[in-house]
Amino acid sequence: MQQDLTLITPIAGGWEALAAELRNRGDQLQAGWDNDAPAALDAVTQLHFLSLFVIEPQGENPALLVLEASFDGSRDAFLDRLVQTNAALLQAVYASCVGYPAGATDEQLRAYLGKQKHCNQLFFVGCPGLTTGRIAEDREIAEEVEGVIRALNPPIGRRAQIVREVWQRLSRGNRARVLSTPKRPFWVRQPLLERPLPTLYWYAKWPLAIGGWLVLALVLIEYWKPGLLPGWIAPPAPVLEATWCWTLFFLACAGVLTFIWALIWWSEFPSRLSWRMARDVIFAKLEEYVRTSLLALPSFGALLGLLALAHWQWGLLWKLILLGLVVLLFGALVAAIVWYVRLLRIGLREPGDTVYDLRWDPARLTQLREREDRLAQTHLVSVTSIRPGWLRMATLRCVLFLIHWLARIFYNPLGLFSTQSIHFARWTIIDEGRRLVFISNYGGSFGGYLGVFATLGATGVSAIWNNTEGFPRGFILLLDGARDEQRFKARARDSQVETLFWYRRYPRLSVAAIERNAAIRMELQRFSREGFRIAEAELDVFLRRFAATTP
Amino acid sequence: MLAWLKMIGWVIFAGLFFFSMRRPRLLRLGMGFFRRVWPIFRSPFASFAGATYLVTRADDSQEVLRRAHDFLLGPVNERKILTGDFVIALDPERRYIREKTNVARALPPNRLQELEHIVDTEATRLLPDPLDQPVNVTLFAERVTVAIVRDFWGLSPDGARSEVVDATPGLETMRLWLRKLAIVLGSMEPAPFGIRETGEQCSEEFLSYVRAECAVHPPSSQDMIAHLLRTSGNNMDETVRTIAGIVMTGAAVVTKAFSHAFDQLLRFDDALDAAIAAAAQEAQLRAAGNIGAARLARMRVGHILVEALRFNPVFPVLPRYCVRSTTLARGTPRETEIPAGANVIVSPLGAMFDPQAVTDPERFGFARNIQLNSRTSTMPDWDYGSRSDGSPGHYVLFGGGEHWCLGDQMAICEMASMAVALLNRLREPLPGSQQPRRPYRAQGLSYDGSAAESLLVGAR
Repeated sequence: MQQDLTLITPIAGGWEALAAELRNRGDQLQAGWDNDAPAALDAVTQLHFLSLFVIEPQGENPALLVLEASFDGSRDAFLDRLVQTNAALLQAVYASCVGYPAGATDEQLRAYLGKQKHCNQLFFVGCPGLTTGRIAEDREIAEEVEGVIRALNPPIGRRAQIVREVWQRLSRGNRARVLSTPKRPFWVRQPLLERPLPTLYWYAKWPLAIGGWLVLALVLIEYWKPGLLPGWIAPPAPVLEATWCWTLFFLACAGVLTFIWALIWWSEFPSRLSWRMARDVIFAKLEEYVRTSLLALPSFGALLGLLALAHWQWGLLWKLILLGLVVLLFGALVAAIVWYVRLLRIGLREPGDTVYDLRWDPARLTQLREREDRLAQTHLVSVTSIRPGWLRMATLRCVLFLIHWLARIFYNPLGLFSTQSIHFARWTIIDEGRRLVFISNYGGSFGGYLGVFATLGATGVSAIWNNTEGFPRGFILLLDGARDEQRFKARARDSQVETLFWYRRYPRLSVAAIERNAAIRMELQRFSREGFRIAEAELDVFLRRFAATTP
Repeated sequence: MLAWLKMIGWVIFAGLFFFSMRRPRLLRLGMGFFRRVWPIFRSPFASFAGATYLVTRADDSQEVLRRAHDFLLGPVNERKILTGDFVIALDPERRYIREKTNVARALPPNRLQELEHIVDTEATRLLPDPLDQPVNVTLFAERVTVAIVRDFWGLSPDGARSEVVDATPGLETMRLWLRKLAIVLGSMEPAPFGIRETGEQCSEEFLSYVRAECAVHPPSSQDMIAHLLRTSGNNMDETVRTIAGIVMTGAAVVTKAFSHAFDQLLRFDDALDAAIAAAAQEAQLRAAGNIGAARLARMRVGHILVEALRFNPVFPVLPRYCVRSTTLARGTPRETEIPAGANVIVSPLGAMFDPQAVTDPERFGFARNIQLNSRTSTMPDWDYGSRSDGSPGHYVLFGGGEHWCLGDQMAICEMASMAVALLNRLREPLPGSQQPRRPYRAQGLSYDGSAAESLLVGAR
C-alpha cells in the first residue's frame, strides 16, 4: 500500500540560494527525462513521486523547506533507501536547514530526517494498491496484449476464442505475472459507492453468520443441558420454543418445496432411457440435492440463530436502535444548526475574497507555467492562510478528516471529486494552524484540473478552502466558493508556490492509463482462472479497450 | 441456502416453462398481453437471471433478428449445440459465412424432389392404405426423418448403438438419439430433468458414430456427406460437425413442426378440408402422371401447414444475447436501451399474431402470402411458398436475418409430403365402405422434454 511523507523543515537562512539550487537540480532532472536519461532517484525503487520546494517567509511564518514523497512500503524503509542512494542531494539541500549538523554523515542525515515531524491531514491515493513495480509490469503486459491483438488483424471468431488465443500467445513470464496478480485493497475490490448492496452484504455476511451461530449454540446448549449456562447468557424458555417453531416452519417449507421438486422431476423425467442412464441421472440429481442441502446448513443455522436473537432480545435491540437513532438525529440536528448559524454569521463578518485586487507578476506566472504540462503530469503546490478562529480550524480539520476517510469508504474509481487525474494529493496544516498546504501530483493541465474541481468537485473543494482567506466567498461552507471558476482559478494561481524539484517514476502515464493497464491484467487473470467461460459482453468490453472486436 | 432455493426454484421454473411452451393458446394470450401493454418487457427477475427482455411486436422482433452483430445467437447456442462449434452456433463472421456457403453449395439442386421421393417411399413402407387404426403422427415423422438421414444425408443407421437410450441398435437408436439431442436444443440453459446429462452422453455417442461414418464414406456417393466433403475440400472436422449439427437440428425441427402443424390442422375444419382436397388432388394428378401439377398441389398442402404452424410454432420464443449496449426500437415510443449482456427473448408467436404485420391474425388464412428472406434462402426460387419480394416477411417460423434457417424449404417439403401421405390414407374409405373418412385427434400431443413424443390421429 502506498504511503506518504511530508517533511517540513524551517530554513536557517538564505532560502533564495536554496531555491536556486533546487531549481537548478530540477531543471537537470527534467532535461534528463527529455533525453530518456536515468535519474539518481530511480534507485529508490519504491518511490512514485518526490518533490522539494521552498515556502517563502511571510510575516511571522518562517521560510520552510518541504520534502514531499509518495512511495510503497514503510516510511523507515523508504528513508533508508533514499539516504543510501541520494545522500548527496539531501545533504546539499538540508545543509541550510535549522538544526542540521554541519558536515553530517549519511547516518546523521538519516537520523535528522527521522526526527523531522511528518504531518498530513488528508492523503489521497489515485491508484490504491498499485506499487511502482506493479505499474511497470501492468504496462508491459498491456503493451504485449495490445501487440498480440493487433497482430490478429482483424480478430475473428467468438470473443472467448480470441481472448484465449491472446492469452496463449503471451510470453510465459507475463502469463505467470498475470496469474500472480496481487489483490488491491478491499475498498477497491468492494466499492460501496458502485455496488452498495453486494458490498454491504460482503461486510455484514460474516458478522451476521458468526453472531447467528453463537446464539444458536447458546440455544442448543440450553436445550440439551438446561442450567449449564449462567443466567445472564442463558436463553429463556420462550426463545427455545420460538427457535423450535422456526425450525419446524423452515423444515416444513423445505419439505413442501422438495415434494414439488420431486413431483416435477417425476413428471418430466426423460423417457426411453437405458436403465444405466436412468440410474446415473437419478443418482446425479440426488447427489446434487444432498450436496446443496448440506451446503445450505451453515446459513440455515445462522438464520435460526438470528431469529432466536430477535425473539430473545428483540425488545432491547429495538429500543437500542430507536434510542441510538433519536440521539444521533437530534444531536446531529442541533450541531448542524449551531454550526451553520455560527459559520454563516462569521462568514458574513469575514472579509470577502481579494481576487479582483490581485496584481499579477507576469515574470512569476511565466516561471510557474514553465514547469507545467511537461509530459503527462503536473505538480501543484498551493499555500493559503487559514481564517482565524477555532471554529474555522475545527471545521477545516473535520472536513479533511471526513474526506480522507470517505474517499476510502466510498471509493470512487473516477478518483477524488471524480477528477480521475490525481495520482497523489495531500492537505497539510502548517505553522501551528496558520497555513494550509495543498500538494498534488496530477495528470493533465492546470486549467483542466482546476476546472473539474470547480464543477464536479466544487462542494468538497469549497468545504476545504472556504476556511482559508482570499477564497471566493462561499455560502454555508458547501455552496458557491469554487463554483466561481475564474476567481477560483485566479486564487489558486495566486496561492501557488513554485515547484522547484520534482521527481516522478512514470512521467508518461496518466491515472486513467495506469488503471486501464491494471484492469487489463486483472481481467486476464479472471478470464484465465475461469477457463475463459466468460460472458461475451464482458469479453467484448475487454477487446474494445484495444478497439478490436468481432465481427 | 440461496443455492438450495435456486436449485429448487430452477426446477419449478423449468417445469412452468415446459408447461407453458406446450400450451400455445395460453402462450398466445400471454404474448398478446405483453405486446399490447409492454411490447419490450424487462423481466423483474433481472438480478436473479441477468437482465432479460421479452420482445413481442413484429417490427421489434425483426429488428432484433436482423441485427445479428448486436444480438448474437452464438453465446446462446454455445452450450446447447452439443455437436461442437457447428455453423448455427456461430455468429456472422468469416468462418460462419464460409461454412454456411459450403453447406448451401453442397445441397443438390433437385433436393426437394429427392426428399419428396424418400418420404413417399417411406410412407408406403410404414403406413397401410387405408389406415384402419389411429396412427402416431409423431412416431411416423420421426421414422421418416431417420429415413431422410439415411438416404439423403448418407448416415447409415446400421452402426447406431447406444448405452444411453433404451432401443435396439439401428433405426430405433438413431430415432431416439435424434429426439434426445433435439430436447437439449429446445430447452433452456442449464437444461433440467437430466436433459443435459442425457444430451451430452447422446452427443458423444452420436458424434463418434458420425465421425466413423464420414471416415469410411465412399467419396463417389451422391449423398450430402460426400457433397460436403467435396465442397469443404475434404475437411473432415467441418464435415462431421456440419452433418451432425444439421441432422440433429433438422430432425428436431421437422418432427416437432409436423406434429404441431398436424395438431393445429385438426382444430380448423376449413383448413383440414382444404388440406384433404389438395392431398386428394395430388394423388390423382400423380396417378395420372402429371407430376408437375401434383407437386403444385403438394405445395398447397405445404402452405396450409405453414399457416397451421403460425398457431403453434416450433420455437415460440427465440433467445438472443445482447453483446453491447444498444437501443431497440429507436425513434418510437417503445425506444429501449438494452444493456450489454442482457438476454433478449424474441417471441415469434407474439410477432406472428401482431395485427400490424398479419391481418386478422386469429383467422386461419392459408392463402396468405408467405414471404421468405431471399438473401439467405437456399434457393432463389421458392417452391414451397410465395416467391419472395425481398422483404423480411412476417412469418418468423424460420428465424430471421443472418440466421434464417438453411433448410426452410426442405423442412416444408418434408412436412407437406408426410401430410399428403397421411391425409390420403386417413381419407380413404375402409374396405367394404364407400364413405370417405375424416381425420380426428384420437389423443392429443404429448411431449418428452421439449420434443414431441406422440400425437394419435384416427379417421371416422
